[in-house]
Amino acid sequence: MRGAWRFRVLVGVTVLAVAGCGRGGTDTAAGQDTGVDNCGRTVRVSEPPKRAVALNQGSAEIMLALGLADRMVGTATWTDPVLPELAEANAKVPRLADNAPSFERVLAVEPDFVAASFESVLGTGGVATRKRFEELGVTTYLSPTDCGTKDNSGDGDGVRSTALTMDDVFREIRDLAELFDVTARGEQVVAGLRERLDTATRDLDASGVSILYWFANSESPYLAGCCGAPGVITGALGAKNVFDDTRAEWPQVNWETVAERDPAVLVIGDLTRKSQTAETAAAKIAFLESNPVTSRMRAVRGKRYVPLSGQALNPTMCTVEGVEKVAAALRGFGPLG
Amino acid sequence: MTAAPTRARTGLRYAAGLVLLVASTAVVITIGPADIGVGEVWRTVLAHLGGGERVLSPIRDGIIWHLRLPRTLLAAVCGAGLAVCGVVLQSLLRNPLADPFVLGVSSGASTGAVVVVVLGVGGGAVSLSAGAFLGAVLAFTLVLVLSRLLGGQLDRVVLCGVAAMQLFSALTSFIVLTSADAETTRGVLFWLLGSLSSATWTEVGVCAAVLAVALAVCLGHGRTLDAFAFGEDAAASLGIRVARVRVVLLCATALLTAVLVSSSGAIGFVGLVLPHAARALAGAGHARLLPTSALGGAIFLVWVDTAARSALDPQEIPVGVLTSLIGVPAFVVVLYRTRSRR
Repeated sequence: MRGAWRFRVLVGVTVLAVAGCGRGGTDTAAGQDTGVDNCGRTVRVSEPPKRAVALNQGSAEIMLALGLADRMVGTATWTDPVLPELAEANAKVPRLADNAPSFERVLAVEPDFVAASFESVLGTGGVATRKRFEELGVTTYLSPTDCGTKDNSGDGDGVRSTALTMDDVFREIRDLAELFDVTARGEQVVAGLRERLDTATRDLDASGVSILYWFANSESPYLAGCCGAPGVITGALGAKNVFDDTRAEWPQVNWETVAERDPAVLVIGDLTRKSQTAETAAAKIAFLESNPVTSRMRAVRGKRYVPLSGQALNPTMCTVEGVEKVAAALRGFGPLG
Repeated sequence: MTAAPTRARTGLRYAAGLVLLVASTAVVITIGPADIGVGEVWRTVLAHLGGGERVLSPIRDGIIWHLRLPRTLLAAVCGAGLAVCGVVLQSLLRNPLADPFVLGVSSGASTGAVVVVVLGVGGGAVSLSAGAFLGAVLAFTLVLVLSRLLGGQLDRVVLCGVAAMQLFSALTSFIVLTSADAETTRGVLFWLLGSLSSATWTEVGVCAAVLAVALAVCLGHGRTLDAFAFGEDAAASLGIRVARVRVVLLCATALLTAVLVSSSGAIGFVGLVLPHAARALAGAGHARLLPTSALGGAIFLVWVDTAARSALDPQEIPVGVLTSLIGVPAFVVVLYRTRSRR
């Protein structure tokens, strides 16, 4: 399909040239810069990238959904298995590393474009800073869901100044679509996700349902504050996060406070990594039901658990799946308000 | 001790060390995840030095000239610098366990880096390196002032250093644990374990210049350091202005360490153990010990960093993790082979 489109452009240019536009014809075709505002800078490409690397799973899945597999030369830093509908396309793209690759490993595939979901990957202490990539002529793009996270100009300390919304993820999809010159496909993907969100939450009355999001760690659990991807899920459902009074992304809270807030539903991360305690949903449930304090919480007594993948709890396309799963679970639990 | 080698033999040893360092550099820059031929690598370096044409695409050219070469040179400079600081501090403090971080420099650097990166202090204008440097200098100043207030004896300096280390480690942990962005922190901690992956030509230049000055200062005090081996009173009786010399040397080593740590993180082992290995090879006289340590540290770190960046490809290991894994067996070998001479 893309080949055909290219062909048409080529024909168009040739016709222009023949029609007597002289040298002007080819210049307009090749020299049209595309630029998008990205995290306080402008990302500009003179032509759609042909050798792109996605440094995080989130960026990789957006590119794959945009049908860019044949313009990708590598992916890295995978949190979960790839979305099933993208598995076939993903198989065509080499995986440079399961975790963060070394800078040279990325440069070795000679990318002209790298995108990442997190500043921790495309920044100090990560693969390399954007500046270092750009010094070698590689264009960089960082997800707008993350550059708001750490506001270096003000009192930013890993706290979101404004709540994340699904529009931030849509913006990432549209930006990448524009840079790769597939805007129509981008709109299609966004419309599809919007449609799924509407379907998932249609006629759902979850007002008054209190939810707790537990990412990982049983000693000192990481629980969602108001404004990250769990905030998007809570907002879409019209429910209430018991820790929406903290703006920190994943603060560590003690169990005493958790028991006191006594949420009606527990959304628990079902993670595939193995770096902390209580990573899988099964391990989390085992802990909740054996611990003398947490086992008395009403959500635990009613076994109202909703397992979600790590990607669904990060600001990605998967967050939509998070909304769908929690919505479906709430319908199943019946009235809880 | 064996009979002192003649001047000519010593010179020959240094020449051999230098040749080994240059040869090591030439070899390790041909090693790496990107598949680039040996000839292409060397032609690329020559082209940048002004002889011949560039043979690689801009990115592959960048891999050699902006990644591997500055990184290897920074490894050499850091290895040399840390080893020299270790030698001086061990003699000055008369403590075989002293290392370049004994004055709280590395923990101060960690706190500085975390403050800049995690808390966003400085509005993005202050880089991680600058933050680390300021933290290091602050910690060291605190140690000097405190030990001065407590009487200024050498054991006070060491104790204050240990106290500062604990204090700044606690501050770093506090910031890390209370900051909301665990991902960012993990990145910073990786770097603080010691990593040369962000080496740039600017850093190589700055570190090399500071190393040259500090090495000159230390060599200038070579005889004094020899005298310190017999204790401060003995040194004073030889007409050495003990207090002044101590401050000069402490400042020189702390500043050198601060500069190195701010561009490479806290690479352990080199400054602690390499001086002992060098002593086993070159004897205790500082005129020979300092250059031997510098060369040994440089060659050692060049090779260890090469292992760090290529052993677990596509991932990287922080070089500070590997220094001990590789260094301890090497250290045992050196001590074993020189045991009968003692």
